[in-house]
Parts: sequence; C-alpha cells; structure tokens
Amino acid sequence: MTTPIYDPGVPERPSDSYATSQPELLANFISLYQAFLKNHEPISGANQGVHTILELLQQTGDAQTDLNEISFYTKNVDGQTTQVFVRINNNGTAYQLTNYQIYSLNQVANQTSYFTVLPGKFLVYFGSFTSLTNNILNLNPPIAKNIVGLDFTPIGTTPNYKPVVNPIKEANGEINKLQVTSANLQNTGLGTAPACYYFVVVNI
Amino acid sequence: MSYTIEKPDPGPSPALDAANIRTNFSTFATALAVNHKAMNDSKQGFHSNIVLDKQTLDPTVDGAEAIIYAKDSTSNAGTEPQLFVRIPVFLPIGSDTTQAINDPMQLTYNSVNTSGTVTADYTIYQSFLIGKYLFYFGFCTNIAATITLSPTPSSLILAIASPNTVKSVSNFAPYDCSTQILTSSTFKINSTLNGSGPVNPYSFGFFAIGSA
Repeated sequence: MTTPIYDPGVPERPSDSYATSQPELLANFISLYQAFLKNHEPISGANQGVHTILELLQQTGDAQTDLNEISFYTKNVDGQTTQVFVRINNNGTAYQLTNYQIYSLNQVANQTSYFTVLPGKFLVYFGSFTSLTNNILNLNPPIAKNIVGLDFTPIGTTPNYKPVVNPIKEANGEINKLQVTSANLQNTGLGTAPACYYFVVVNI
Repeated sequence: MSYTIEKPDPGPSPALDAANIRTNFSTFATALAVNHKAMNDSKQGFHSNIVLDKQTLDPTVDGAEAIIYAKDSTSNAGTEPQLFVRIPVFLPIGSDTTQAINDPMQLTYNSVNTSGTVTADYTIYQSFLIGKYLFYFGFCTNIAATITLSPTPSSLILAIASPNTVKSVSNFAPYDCSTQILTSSTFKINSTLNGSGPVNPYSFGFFAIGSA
C-alpha cells in the first residue's frame, strides 16, 4: 500500500464539506498507521506500541539530552561504519558503544585467541598460549593503537612469575605483536615464557 | 471497534463514521503511549522505555543505520531472548584484512552478580562482555580452595590471577602463581607462597572469562 502524505492541517476549514475532508482524514489515518508500523507492532495488534526492532538511522552529530534523559543513536566513525553511541543525561559524555565487528578468528599455532570490544573504543584480546614462536604473541585482529592494560598468568600446577611483555610497534604505528619472555630473577637473559592465559586491552 | 485504515469512507453521512474516527484517534493515542510519552504530554512521542518483541530472524541492515533487537540466544543457562546489535557492514581498519560479514553481536546476558558471592576462601562477582562471554572477578584468600563460577559457562577460556602480597617483611618479591582450569566452571590458583617460610594473610585478585 502506498503511504499517502500526512497532512496535520486537515480538515482545513470548518466549512469544508465532508466530501472534502473525508479523503483527507482517511489519508492521515493510513499515514499514521504506516508510520507507526516502522519498528513497532501494529497499532491494532495485541502488542500495540511495543517495538519490534530499533532501527537507528545514522546521525550527523551527537544527540542532545536533557536532564533525566539518555540517548542511543548512531553515527559514522571515520574509517569504520555506522556505530552505536550513547549520550548521558543533560548533554553529558557521548561515547561509542559498538566499536568493531566481532568475528571468529583464524587460530595460529600454540595460541588460542578471542577478542571483544568495550564501550569507548577499547578492544580486548584474550586467550592462552603454550610455546610462542620467537616469543611473539600475535594480537589479532591487528588494529591496536596503544596498549592500555594487560595481565598474564602462567597455566598449570607449577607456579611461576608473570612474564615480561614488550609491545612491538609496526612502521604504521600499530602494535600487532607483543614480545613475551619469562621473568628472569637471575639476570641470565630473556627466556621463553611459560604457557600463559593472557588479557590485553588496547585502544583502536 | 479497532483502528481501521479504511475509514472514514465516502459514506452518505459523516455521522456514520464519527465513531470510527474517534476510535482511530483513541487507538493511536493508546498505542503511542506504550513505550512512549503519551499524546498531550510535554514530551509526547519521546521514548520512556523500549520493549522489544523477540525476532525470529536477524534483520537486514539497510544503509547507514544500525539495528538493535532481541532474539533467542542459547547459552549454558538455556535459551532466552537477548539484546543484539547489527552494524551495516564490516569495514576492517588498520592491518586487518579479514573478510568478515556483519554478523549480529550479542550485547547482554541473563544475569550479573554485583553484590558478590562470599565464601570463606574467595569473593566473586560476575558480569558479561559483548559477544556472549561471561566475565568473573574477585579475590581469593586461600589457594587451597577451588573457585567455582556461577552461572556456569559452557567453557572456560582463561583464568588470570595476581598476588596482592609480597613474600615477607624482609623479602619484597611478590608471590609467584599459576592458574589451573579444572572444569568448565572451576579453576584453582597455585602458588608456592613464601616457600618454607611463614605465610601471612594474603590475597590474589583474579578474573576469568568463559563462553556463555
């Protein structure tokens, strides 16, 4: 069904005949019904008014919020795509809720990898490794700008010290690898890190 | 009588459709008042809350928009509707060359534990991470204890622990440690503590991530 143009100004004149205002009223009722059908259960349905989905059309700027309001909206992120943002009460802080597409990683030898995102353009790499080739832990997907937090713990029944971790900066400024070596309290040089669980937080 | 998009029709008398017109105005106002500020409210049309009916299919994202919706998600705790988000397209950044699609991402889980579960040996809290992961964290004061995660994840991916205590008043080296995942919902912290020396009260901070 074609949605007619909604006209909030009808009936236009009190003197209009019903023959004039009848199609105008009908058109408005059709428009109201069709417009409300977007993202909502039908007006006359059992769940009238309840939402089906929340389709957030991309905005050009941050949404305004008054006192006691919070806003969900979408905005384009440079180099990425439309992402979901939140703005806190009273035009407060606006932050990015969705950061990156989560997908299943191709695993590499001796390393089991996962990643997720945190609100605010953070990405978390986590998983475990056994014996690292050349003491290198890969951060996949390779999109880290800065390391902002990390923790490692040796795996198994034999306690050990946490490994020493050094970010390796690529020519383009990304940090897509970490050098992970054993803590060496005897100062006999860097050794192979024990198998560890790892958790690394980065900016993207 | 319910809302109709067939009235008013070109009948012989307006009196015949007056009731239909009134019903349409009334029904629209009733429907709008669900999840929204009602007509004539100073903020009419604004959302007050958002109830999302469960969808059976993932929606198609059309152009410059993202969609938030609810659909069933099966976890170790059963099947319940959860909140999902779908962005329009995956555009990798940096050195990422992956050709992934814009799969929906799960934003929520059934529960959080914000008050903490306190045992004699450890205190544990629980939240979740985007992508259907459970996140547990807390403190352990007795490494002889097995730490049990609740709700039970389908698999346990990692357990990380950090000592908050040095060995003794004369040896400021931290305790060593390791973690041992025992089952999909339990793990243990190991440490030699102060070796053969006396052990003062200690604690290890820990966190663990599991697949929901």
